[in-house]
Amino acid sequence: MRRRQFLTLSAKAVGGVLVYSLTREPLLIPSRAQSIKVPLRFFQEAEALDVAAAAARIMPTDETGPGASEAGVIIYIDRQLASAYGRDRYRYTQAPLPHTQRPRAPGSPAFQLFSRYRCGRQW
Amino acid sequence: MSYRFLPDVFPLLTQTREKYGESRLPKNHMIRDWAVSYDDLEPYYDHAEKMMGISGKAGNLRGRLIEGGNIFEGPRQNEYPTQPAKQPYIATKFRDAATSLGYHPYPIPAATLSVPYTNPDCISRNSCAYCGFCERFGCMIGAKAQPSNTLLPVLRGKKNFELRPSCWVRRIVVKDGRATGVEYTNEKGEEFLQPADLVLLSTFTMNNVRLLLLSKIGEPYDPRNGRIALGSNLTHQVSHAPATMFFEEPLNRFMGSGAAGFTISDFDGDVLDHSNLPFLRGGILRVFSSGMRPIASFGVLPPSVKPTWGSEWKKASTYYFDRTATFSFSGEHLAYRENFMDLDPTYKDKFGDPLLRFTLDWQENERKMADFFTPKAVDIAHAMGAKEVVPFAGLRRYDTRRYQTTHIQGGTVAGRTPEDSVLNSYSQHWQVPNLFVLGASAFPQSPGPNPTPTVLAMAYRTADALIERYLKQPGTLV
Repeated sequence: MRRRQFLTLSAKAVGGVLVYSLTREPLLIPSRAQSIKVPLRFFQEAEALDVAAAAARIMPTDETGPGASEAGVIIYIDRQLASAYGRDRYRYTQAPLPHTQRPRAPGSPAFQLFSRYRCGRQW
Repeated sequence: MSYRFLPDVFPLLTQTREKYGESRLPKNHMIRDWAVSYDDLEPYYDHAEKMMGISGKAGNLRGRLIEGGNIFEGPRQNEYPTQPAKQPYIATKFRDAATSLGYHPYPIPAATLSVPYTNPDCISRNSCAYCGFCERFGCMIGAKAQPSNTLLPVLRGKKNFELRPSCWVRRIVVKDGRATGVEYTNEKGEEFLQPADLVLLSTFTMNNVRLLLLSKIGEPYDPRNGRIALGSNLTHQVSHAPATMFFEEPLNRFMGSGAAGFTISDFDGDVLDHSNLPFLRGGILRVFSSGMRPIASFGVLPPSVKPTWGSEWKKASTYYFDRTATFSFSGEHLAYRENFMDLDPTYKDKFGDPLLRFTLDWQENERKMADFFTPKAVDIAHAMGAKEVVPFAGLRRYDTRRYQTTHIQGGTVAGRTPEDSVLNSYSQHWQVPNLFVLGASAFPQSPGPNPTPTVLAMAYRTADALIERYLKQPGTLV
């Protein structure tokens, strides 16, 4: 059992938006709070910050409007990776996978991420 | 999208042999004539359309061809119960371009009501609001015909009707050639045996086949001998976007409904002469607007936009979000010896019962058909004024990861003899006469357009025979 990890976000980044907590209860973040701590289910905090930074490069906050940070994308990715979807549990990819399928990487993008982070390899 | 099949769909094997010769049929085909004809089904198509209040425009009223409808369709005894739906901007662009190229566009027949309507069961429903959340969603105003707003309100009032939700039927019990009931498990995990005089299995193509396999009813298909049996003739409507178009003006595609658009059937079935074409049969092309979804529809870009992330990509994605449209193609899928369903040797469900397994790939006929339609769609796209057009890359291998309709067919083929089919023309099981298997699992191969009205027409035909004949004297109907 690893220690529970939290992601500390500045309240400004998520000001006025709803965040779904661990118990799936919607939580309104008051914009006057300095920062909030969101419990992580999959990532370590450092990993989450890395992935959040990458997401913010893909969908940046710019003059066309809010981006991945404001949307809380990292929380979504974290929850997906912690779920059955992240482990590809519903895709019937039980080993042994045929060797010939290696180049066609089986499974969801989430599964790819999961195996890269937790198994140190990519299918 | 509530199309009737063309009449030439039903005598497929006989007609193809007569017209093009045996040598044109793929060597490994399992194509069969249907056990019913268009004329057998016409009264039941008519009834199904009235029950759902299908909106559309007739193209063939008792033999009289009508411009603006589908002039290639079989003769209809009646006009559609409701008028065509309102058309989105992109669909009218398609209609005009297709007409200018000599094709015959017609409004897609839709199970979403264009006007308020009361069906023969006295069920009244509202007309569509074109909200854009249609084909993947329950209809919040009841404009879309679905069992919860057409069938269940009628059944709810019946004293002899009981719905048991959250139950899994796991076996059909057969004794001495008769179904005696079903075994099911409820949501608490309790197991029950429900005795029955008559069993109607109507649990979608895949589960129809799986339940029969699990219940050991009928001989499972063996691809080594290629004889029609339980699980054979698996087909999956050929479906993809032959072209993606990018326009300079906004298209308002956030509005729409599941079938708001136009179709051309100029290349469907055997409308085209295939003597000098490298494939048999065909399909339909259509453009419609069912509603752009903020996430699902985001980020489709023309080749002129190079970045795939970052500010420039984001700006272009926002700009093109409502300037993008696709063609939709639905084509025939022939039956082949290599394509079938059986029980999976590895994967099991939560009860420990094997899952159903698909063995399926496209063959040359489907690939060449797709290659034929792509340039046709590209031509129409240019006539529609698209600034950039991206053609379909080709069908290649069958891939379950790409969504391509829920129109999976076959497995319990209905035919004329017990040696060459699983069911008779009333979808009655040849070996177990008090078991009826309803749904597209009875189709010997997949026609081009969508299957629902034909599934319903066959079910109404079976219901008629049950009431008129079977209940009076239970036994084989043919």
